[in-house]
Amino acid sequence: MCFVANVQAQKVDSVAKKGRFNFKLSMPNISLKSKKSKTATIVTDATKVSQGTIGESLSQVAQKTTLSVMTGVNFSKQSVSAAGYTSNFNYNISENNNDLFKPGFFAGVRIDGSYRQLHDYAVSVSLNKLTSGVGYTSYNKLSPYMGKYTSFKAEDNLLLMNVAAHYKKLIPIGDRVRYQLYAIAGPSVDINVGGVSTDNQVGDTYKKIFFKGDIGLEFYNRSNYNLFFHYHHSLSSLTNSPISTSLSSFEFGMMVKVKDLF
Amino acid sequence: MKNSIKHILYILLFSVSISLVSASCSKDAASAQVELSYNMLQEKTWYLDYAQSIVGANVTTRSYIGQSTYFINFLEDRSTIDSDGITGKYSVANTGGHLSISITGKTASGNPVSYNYQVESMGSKNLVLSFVISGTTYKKFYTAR
Repeated sequence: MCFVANVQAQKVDSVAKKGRFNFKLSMPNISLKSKKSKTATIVTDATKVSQGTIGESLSQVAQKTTLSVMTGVNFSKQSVSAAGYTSNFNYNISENNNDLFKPGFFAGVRIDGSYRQLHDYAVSVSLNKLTSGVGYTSYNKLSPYMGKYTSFKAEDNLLLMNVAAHYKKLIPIGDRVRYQLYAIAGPSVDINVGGVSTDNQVGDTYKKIFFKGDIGLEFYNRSNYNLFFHYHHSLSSLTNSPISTSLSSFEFGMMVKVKDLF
Repeated sequence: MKNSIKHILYILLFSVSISLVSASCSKDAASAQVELSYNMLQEKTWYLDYAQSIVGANVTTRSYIGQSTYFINFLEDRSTIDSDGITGKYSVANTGGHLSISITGKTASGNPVSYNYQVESMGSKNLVLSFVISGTTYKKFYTAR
């Protein structure tokens, strides 16, 4: 809006300049002054209009969406198949195989809204510190010298930025005035912001970005906080071919509306 | 509604940009391999468990398990000493993705010696080195204790 107004102002100014050029031929001086003052008025008005529009739009967004902060714990596990991958390094399976979910934590912000008052959605951005268990489904052997070993050591600590877009569906059970239960589903993208250890810089094995599918349940009550449980599973491998790594994680979290905090 | 979508898109774009910038800082693979090799080698004593001599398809294996065996110590200051009394310096090099260990030192009697080993496989507890003399490939299997 502001841009359009400025363009209009420039147009008027160019008209004014043309007017000055014409003035030497025929136009009176007073005509030029009146056009210049008109230009200044237009720019001032446009600024006011622009400020009003941003304010209004922010107000509209605030009314239609809810900004929340969220935090919680997560439990994650990687499943690795590194058959076909070779490197100069070896890692004993017995020392690195921990096929269990290990705890981490996360925190972030989230926007909840409704599309045309029909379709509820949530968009969130969070930082996730994963301490992941690792299960190896393939291994090498060098008898009798070395037992089971792998050439790839999975990262057991990851710092991921997660961006998620979830569709929410109200489950019609219980007293919906007092509390609501939603089922959620949707994609999310994880960006590895923490980098990888030297073990994985060697082969540039981990991808920087990978996609996940999320499902979960969210419990809304009339208190200041809401609870949620999400399960995530990677849609593609976390690592580059020929290593195949899948990530499973679930998280228990709590979210609080920003307007309730401040 | 359009405005709220626009704002959400701005937040997503900003997040992705920040993440990509922070994720793009990493070492190159060759220097990472050398660094990792030093981390795995140093401050350990490596004992020879098996030795193989390979000529064509003929493989002869000798075990030193349970016997008094050769050992070599790689220290953090890049110096080395072995059970034969050879002392000197060692270094790891990466040539086209292949790691090698070079040792330059002198014997107990003061004679200069130098060795160059190809790294077949290296771990925090297992090390396989090889070298070739007159068409025979020798493989040495070490364990850190």
